[in-house]
Amino acid sequence: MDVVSVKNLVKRYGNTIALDHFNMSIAQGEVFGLLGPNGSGKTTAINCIFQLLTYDKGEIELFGQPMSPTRYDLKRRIGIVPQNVAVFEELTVRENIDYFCGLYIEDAKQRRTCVEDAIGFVGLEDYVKHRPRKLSGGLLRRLNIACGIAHKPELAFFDEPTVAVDPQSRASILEGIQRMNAEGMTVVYTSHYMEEVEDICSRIMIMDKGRTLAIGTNAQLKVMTGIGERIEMDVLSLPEAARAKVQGLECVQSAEYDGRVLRIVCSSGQHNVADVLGVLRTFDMQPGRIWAEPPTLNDVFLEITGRDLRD
Amino acid sequence: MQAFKCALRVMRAHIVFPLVYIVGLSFMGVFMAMSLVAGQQSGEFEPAHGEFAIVDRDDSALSGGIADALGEQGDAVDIADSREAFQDAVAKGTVDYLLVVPEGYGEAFMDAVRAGEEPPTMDTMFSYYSMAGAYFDEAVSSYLSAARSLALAQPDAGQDAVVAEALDAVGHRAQASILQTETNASEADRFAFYLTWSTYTLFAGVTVCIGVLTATLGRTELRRRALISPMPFLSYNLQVGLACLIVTLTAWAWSFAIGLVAFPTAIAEMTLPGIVWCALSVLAFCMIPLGIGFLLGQCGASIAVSNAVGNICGMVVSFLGGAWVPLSIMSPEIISVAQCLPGYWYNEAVQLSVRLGSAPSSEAVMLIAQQLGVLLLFAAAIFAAGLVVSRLRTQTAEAGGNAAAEAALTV
Repeated sequence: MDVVSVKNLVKRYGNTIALDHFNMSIAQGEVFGLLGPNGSGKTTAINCIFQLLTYDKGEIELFGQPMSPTRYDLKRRIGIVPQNVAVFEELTVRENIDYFCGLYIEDAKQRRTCVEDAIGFVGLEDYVKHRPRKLSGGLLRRLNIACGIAHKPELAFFDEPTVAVDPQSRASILEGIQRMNAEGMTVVYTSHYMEEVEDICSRIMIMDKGRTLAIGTNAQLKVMTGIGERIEMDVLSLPEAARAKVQGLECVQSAEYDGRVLRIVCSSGQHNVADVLGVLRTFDMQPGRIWAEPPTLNDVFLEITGRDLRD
Repeated sequence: MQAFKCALRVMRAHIVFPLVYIVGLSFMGVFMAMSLVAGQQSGEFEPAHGEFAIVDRDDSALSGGIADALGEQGDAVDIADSREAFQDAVAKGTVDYLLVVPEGYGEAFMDAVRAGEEPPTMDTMFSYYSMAGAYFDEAVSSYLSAARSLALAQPDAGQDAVVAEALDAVGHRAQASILQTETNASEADRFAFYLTWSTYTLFAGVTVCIGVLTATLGRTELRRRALISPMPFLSYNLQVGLACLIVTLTAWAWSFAIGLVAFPTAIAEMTLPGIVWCALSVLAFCMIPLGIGFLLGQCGASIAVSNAVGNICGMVVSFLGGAWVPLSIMSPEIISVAQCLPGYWYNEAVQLSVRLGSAPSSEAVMLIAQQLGVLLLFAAAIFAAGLVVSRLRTQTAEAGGNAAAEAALTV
């Protein structure tokens, strides 16, 4: 059963289409990455799913049931960790978590257990009596997460939860999300940090202009781009004729030389490096460092959405 | 009741605002009303009393008479006959009035008067600490004037006889006593003054407290989290509204109770219906800053803005409500402006309530009820404006509403 099912969702603002027959389905237990440049429609889609926005057409189902603003039973099973830290400066760490958990769980005894679990989960045991202004950026993010997941939702949306945190806190947050997923929580994850998405998401959707451009696993998306390998070689004084000959190889999509490094984008192949080295030998060139890697998600993203700057 | 409890915790975190505005300003109102008491006197009239010094270089009957004339109006102080001593006495305020009678003054005075010439002058010094010096100087002038008249009327009379009669003449004084008039403030009037002054206390205090509360709970991201949660938004709003009401009722109860405690005899002077209608008037007035605080919160006003609005509007409303200057001495134009603000109607209701009899007529009650009705209409209008702003705000970019996405197709 799909935990989230969005079919043909259309959201218009006057003549502008924010979501253009947008489709999305997320299976139970997935960590689903939702990627898109600014203005692509990610937040609009999420706001529609949460019924914060009305929409012109389409169907939204959560847990196999139609979603509406008054489906409190469905809302009870969802959690959200917003991009901006949304906690009360006036309340302590424990009071904050208790308050947000209390919006979902009325029973005080049950809530107490959930709050303690959440505090332990994000590692804020030593800060329960602190006010948010006394917490560091990383601790604040962890508090933000605790407030969103304390009621133990079955489906949680994480909207760029690692913005402006140090690498240690980021690793801790990502590890926590993976642990929650391992315990059965379905996760929808949006971020502009491609390596994070690559690391934790089991399936990734790339959207732009309100439409789905690509969807699949990390490996499937990389295959879609046609980029098989990136090669970089340190070469001194490479003649233009040599670069042109490399460019002319069947497996090479592009070859650029900046006076020191030769950068080559190849399609999939077993002997790409060997073929390039063969060409260089004919010019008596011996490269220093040679570095080859498969394409990254960032390559895929830029390939699909383009390199034009967005707002 | 999560939202309700959270709202009270937020208020607890900002406890300095109710302490300063509601508690502090209430006490200030009490002191101001009590100063009204200190300004009133009853019983025997007590003339002003001061200190004077006479440096008598003449030692005549006339100069001795001056000391006797002033003796009834002040206390004589001995001062050495030197310029330094004179300056010292006046500068330090040891004396309010210092008179130097030159040698031969008595004879010279009598001769000049009888010759039809101007009498000789004397050196005088006044302390700048009070106006008593002028009062003493006036007394000396009266005494000399009487002596002059008597010397002219009795050309053969000696200096001693003239002085004796002059002292007798200036010794006659009009009897003065304090009369209780209708313009004197009764205890109930002082209580009414306190209640009128409370317009500032309540307006500033409740506006700031509610503004802080609703602005905090209305922060966009926090509001979104509440909207997404399974708690019906109506329930959420009702809980926040209840917390605001509790804060307002606490301010009302505190302010009114302090008035009753500070002016206990007002209860004895006033009737029970009068006290009840006073309490209702204060309560009705409290609904206005409650509405303004709500409106400010919906506008996303910061704490600084809430403070500014609470203070400035509070001053305007209380001033035009007659809290600082009686409305009776204001111009008709100012009163016309005042009638456009709630302070005027509140003041009217309070003034009518304190004079309400034990069995008030239906007309009197209706009149007060009308004033309260105007106050509640003010509150309703402001609250309605707050609801409109709230509605618009849910559609803004920050809130993730329709208008937002329309503006920027945000993310």
